[in-house]
Amino acid sequence: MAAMASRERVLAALNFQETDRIPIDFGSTIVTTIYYTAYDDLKRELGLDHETVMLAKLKRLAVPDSAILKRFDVDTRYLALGVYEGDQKELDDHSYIDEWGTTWKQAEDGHFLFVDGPFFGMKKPKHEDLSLCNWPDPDNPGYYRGLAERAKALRASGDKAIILNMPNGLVHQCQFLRGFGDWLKDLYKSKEFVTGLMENISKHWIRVAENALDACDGNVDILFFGDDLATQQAPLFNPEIYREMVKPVHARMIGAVKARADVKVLYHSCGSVEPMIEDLIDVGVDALNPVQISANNMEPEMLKEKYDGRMSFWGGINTQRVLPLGTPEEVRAEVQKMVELMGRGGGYVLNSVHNIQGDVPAANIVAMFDEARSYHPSWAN
Amino acid sequence: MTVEKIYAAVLDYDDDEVVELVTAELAKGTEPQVMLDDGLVAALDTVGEQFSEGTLFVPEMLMAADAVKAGLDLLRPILAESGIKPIGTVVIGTVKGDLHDIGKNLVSMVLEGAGFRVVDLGTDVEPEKFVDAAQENDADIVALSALLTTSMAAMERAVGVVCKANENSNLNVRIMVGGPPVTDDFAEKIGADGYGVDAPTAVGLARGFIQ
Repeated sequence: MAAMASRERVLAALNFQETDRIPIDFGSTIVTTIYYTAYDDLKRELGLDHETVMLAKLKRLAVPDSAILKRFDVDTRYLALGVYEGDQKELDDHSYIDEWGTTWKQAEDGHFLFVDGPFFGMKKPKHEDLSLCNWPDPDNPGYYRGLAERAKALRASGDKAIILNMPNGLVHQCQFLRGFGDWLKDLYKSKEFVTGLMENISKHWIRVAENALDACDGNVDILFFGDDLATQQAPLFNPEIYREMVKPVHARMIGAVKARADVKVLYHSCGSVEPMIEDLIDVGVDALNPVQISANNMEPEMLKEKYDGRMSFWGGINTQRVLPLGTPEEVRAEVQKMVELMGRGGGYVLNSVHNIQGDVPAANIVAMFDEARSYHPSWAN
Repeated sequence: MTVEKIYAAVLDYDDDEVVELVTAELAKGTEPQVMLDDGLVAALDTVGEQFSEGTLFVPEMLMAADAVKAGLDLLRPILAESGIKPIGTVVIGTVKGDLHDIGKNLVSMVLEGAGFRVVDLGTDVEPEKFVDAAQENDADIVALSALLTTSMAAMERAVGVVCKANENSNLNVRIMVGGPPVTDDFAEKIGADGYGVDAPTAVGLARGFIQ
């Protein structure tokens, strides 16, 4: 097969066509990048000494430098919106309130967690309680400052697949405003409130997506957003509830994106999300990340057989086992296995399952990407 | 049988109904222990079984635990007055460096619902704090939670500190661990007495430990 350019390779895979080699993502979304300590080790391993650039909102994650993207022949590029201007408040060095009114607190390892929000602790909230949130303005100039120029520069710098990262999702944003457990209970017990909550969040989200896609003017290939719909054992809530309450909102969000621009949609949900994959296909998701193959009911063989040609998979190299605990040879074997299995007929972009964690040895990271870029799949003959 | 109604009200996730039924039964003189065992705990066990089988999910578990707690809040003072003690005491927390508490809270709620006294130390807990709290509360079990793979080392340290206290002091607790990165093998390797893959399994483990 003739050599392909990166963008062509990624889009071909997402259109279920076979490619010259497996497409590779590293650092193009906030869930396919690397923990900063592992990144420092990786720089040492590769003899590089540039300063580590961190993802602003999630300070424990590094943005891979262009030298590393080049070294691993990474096919995708990270594009993010700017930061909302105004309405945020630093509480101290380790906590702040965001523009939605959610309080974030930093753990020892740099990880930020939401600890309070506008609807936290309310018993049986009503639709009229939605006015308690100071809804951020989707037209806030901070989101779009420099975005058009960054997108244009990325396009000019090489023929890569550009991924626009949305600043928030739907389910997660609900949880940040209402609290994790209470939001789950609202889905069953306070349906009117939760429907209004999702309506407000999705209206904001759609407006931001449309503004951003307009600003980027064709220099975006894939739009990324994420939620978490599952634990490692099972869906987080009954798939029937997903279909009744959440799916129509997802359909509106993705429908609006695809009506606005010719882009693919990459959607993130960890865990045992298989019972909702058919629904995600329905609402227009093109590729699912991170493909947590160690979760229940997420065996890659089954996923490929069941959804071949209908849903692409993005991720899949196990961050909880082979990457931190295996040898470089075991990592290479795992990459070969996944490429042979998931890449046949297209529909696979390789990355770790979620961000590369701090305990992954640099030699294993190099083994993963080097094997992915150099391995010649039997199906590519 | 109105105890059956209490059982059914928990399965309907109806806290108000549970409170109403328990209050009415107390007025009639029904044994609190019977309401607890055959009503609340039995219902939570049923929900737990269906959760482990995959037919019910986290929200149902949370809502059932809420309903049980509403009933327990009425029964507990009366049980205490009549000298009936909790079936055991569990000191629980998320290990040092980790702020995640959703799984830990769910396990706490379900343990309480099953009749345990739970001392929740919160998140980001120093290893020594588990030992101190276990001693102060005469605990039977220490339960440790972690979400991050990078917290597994902190879990190992905490288990080590509690094991050492078990050997060197009057402490005599069993240790159970849980959280997404944890496996049976890891639990065994670091010297824990058990691993619970989910909240109902954790309750089963805890019940086994105190027998």
